[in-house]
Amino acid sequence: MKADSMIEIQNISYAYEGEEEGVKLAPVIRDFSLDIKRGEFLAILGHNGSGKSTLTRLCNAMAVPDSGKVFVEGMDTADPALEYDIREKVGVVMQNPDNQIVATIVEEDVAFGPENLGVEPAEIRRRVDDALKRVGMYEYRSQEPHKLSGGQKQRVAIAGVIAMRTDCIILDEPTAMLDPQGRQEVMKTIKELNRDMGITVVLITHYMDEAVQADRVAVMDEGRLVLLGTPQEVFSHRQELYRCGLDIPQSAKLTDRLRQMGIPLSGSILTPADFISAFRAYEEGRR
Amino acid sequence: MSLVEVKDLVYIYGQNTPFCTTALDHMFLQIEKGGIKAVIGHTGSGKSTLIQHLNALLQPTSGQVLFDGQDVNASKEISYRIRFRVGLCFQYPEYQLFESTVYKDIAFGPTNMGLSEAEIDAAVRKAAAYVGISPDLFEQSPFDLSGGQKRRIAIAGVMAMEPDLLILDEPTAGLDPRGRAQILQMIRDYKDKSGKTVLLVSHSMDDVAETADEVIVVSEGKIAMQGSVRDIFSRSEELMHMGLTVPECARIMNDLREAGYCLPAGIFTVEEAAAALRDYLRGGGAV
Amino acid sequence: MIKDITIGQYFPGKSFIHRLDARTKLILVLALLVIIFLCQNFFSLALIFVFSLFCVLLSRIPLKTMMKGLKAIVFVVILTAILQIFYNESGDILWQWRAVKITTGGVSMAIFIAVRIVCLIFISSLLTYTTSPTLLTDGIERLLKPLRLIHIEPHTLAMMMTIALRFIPTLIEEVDHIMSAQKARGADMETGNVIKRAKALIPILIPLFVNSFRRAYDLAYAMECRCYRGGDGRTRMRVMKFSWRDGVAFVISAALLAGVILLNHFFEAVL
Repeated sequence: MKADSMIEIQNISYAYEGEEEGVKLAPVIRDFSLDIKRGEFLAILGHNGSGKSTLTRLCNAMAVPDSGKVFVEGMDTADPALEYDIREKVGVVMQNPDNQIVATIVEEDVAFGPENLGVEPAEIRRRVDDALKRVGMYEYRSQEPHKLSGGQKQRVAIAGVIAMRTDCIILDEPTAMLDPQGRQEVMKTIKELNRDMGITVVLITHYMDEAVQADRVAVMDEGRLVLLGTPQEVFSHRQELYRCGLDIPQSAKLTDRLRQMGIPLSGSILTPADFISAFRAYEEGRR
Repeated sequence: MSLVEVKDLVYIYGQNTPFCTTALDHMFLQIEKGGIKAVIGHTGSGKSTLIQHLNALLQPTSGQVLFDGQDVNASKEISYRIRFRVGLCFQYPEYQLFESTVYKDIAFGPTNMGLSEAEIDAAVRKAAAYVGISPDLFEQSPFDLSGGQKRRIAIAGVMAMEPDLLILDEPTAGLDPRGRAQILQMIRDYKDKSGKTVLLVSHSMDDVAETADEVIVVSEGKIAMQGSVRDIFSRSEELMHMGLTVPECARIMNDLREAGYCLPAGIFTVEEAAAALRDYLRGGGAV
Repeated sequence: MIKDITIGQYFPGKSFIHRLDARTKLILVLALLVIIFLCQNFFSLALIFVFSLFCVLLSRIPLKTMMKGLKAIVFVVILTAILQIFYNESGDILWQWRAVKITTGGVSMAIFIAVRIVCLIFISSLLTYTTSPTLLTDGIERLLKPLRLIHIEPHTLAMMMTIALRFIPTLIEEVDHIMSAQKARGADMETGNVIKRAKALIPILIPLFVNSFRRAYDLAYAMECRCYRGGDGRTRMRVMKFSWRDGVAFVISAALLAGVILLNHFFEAVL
């Protein structure tokens, strides 16, 4: 095991079982390898049905690969004895905020994970308060979850994961059902966890502007890993991204269009800020 | 005469309870026939409440809604028949499918209208063609289809009533870039082929930029702005105050203008932005 | 409107009653219900009635709210009272028309039963009004621990209750949403005979069930992801502790029981 590795995925394949027993359907993960580093912020891009959600299940021992291995901090996910130790390390936040909140009161829900782990009551209290403060939901601790906005519910779900003291958090399209404001709240929270607490973040998304904010981006298609690298590297493979049913940020499109017109803006441009500084530099250079 | 006329509309949720909130606050609005109009506004601005008044699902606390000059709440019968002329497709419509076959589900609306078998059949086929669902799928259960297909079937269920005004609430929510592009293309095709008016409610400014001719901005229960897409997106400052954004290209152009670059206002697509920047550089080069 | 339904409504507060341990409240409410049925005459009933009012005042739940709770069963109270008036033929005749007669016995019986029902409602609604659903299920779980001896897992029951309470508002919202969507396609749920109306429910019930299964599946997955594996080895954030308040409450209740028995003994029974 590599020392700086959080989750090591080695050549895995996985297929779901069909309706008839023992008959496997077409594989959803094929020959997939990825090394998720400790403390990094990794975005996984892919269209619906590209196998992203299945990958989540394989990373927290909810499913075991048909071939290949997944190691979470060196623990083999195929070992049934380690199942709960792995889930304690790798927390999951799902797309639909309504379907993952268990309790009728916000703080009770955040306490659910630590309670399952058998943590002492006083320690649970501390962790719950801390987790709620981290995601900026402390004032809402005695609220009923159904009275919160989508973004707030997702932050409660995130607090529920960090109260378990996980080292890694996988977010499976956490912003897909949110409005722009909710998306911003959740993205801000995720980045803070990564930066301030050193939690490894795996963000599964199909919003390009979210992927741009990550340290590394992995692109999945048909269960395979097709691209991996910094956002700059990945978003330079335009044709490959389009082929996978993905898009590139508008700033990058605009840059491309200008370059085609013979205006060679320099550098890698993914955000409006990138574009504006490159455009200014180009314009000043010409003077 | 305008297709829709909203006069001094007030709607208060939970009147006479401690939780009462004013969703619509003396709103005035006119919508002309034809084209695609976008309704934007952040969550809680009142846009969802507004659209449910247009087909008389909600009755105004005070004020009037006229459709084609007719008060939609004039009588129970009129309020019922208006639903066939103002087709409203809610968010995540795939979660409202219920019939055993795709055909029957699309036929639900036309059947309620009391059409003959032959008319129903024609309406179903036409609607399925609009959304790109092949007749081969008619006898399948809608629950066996993919998420994207389900959504298109649900939209067809509303189109099949051949409404004069089709309202789509967040039709691209939760879709990946490819699914989103398909739905937007479908909406544009529908407008061209049917010649009917479409009202698109969306959080995504990119969706609005790609489809709409006109934009209606709702804020705090009132119409804050109404005008061409070009007009509205050149007012990014005001939009930001209302918790809204503008498409990335419009943001770049507006920011450059603010930084003192002499660029035309109201640009929001990649093509236009590229052309304007090229022209600027050519012109600027000459100085 | 379905949104008006309030199940297990809770009014947060810090009164003496709010601060009692949930287990104390559960046990005492059961005991009080029994004591209410033990009353045999107006003197003991008056004692209970005064006690119920005292509890309401102590809880600082506005009397208006308590009355709202009564509204739902006002019909039951009136009906039982009327039945008593006409069917009880003891005592002096006050009014007679052919075979129908109203007697003093009937009237006092009607009043007696109506007051008894009011007391029952006051006491039992105080339980849900002053105890958060979480604490209530916690209390039930702990009180039912002995059931484990006969292989019934009280934790599972409590968990199911919690989840039901959590999802009731979500599902009510969902029903509202589905109803609006089907109405927008011309579903007519307000007219027609019983069969037509029953049929009109299909477009609502099917999506509701399909979506509920999806939610259940998601929730089960989310719970497993958060290391849920039943009640064994599980701790709770909230520690339940009996305090002096609980002692006081038990003593007062015992005194009340004694009072009722004494009054029953010294005065003639109405029943």
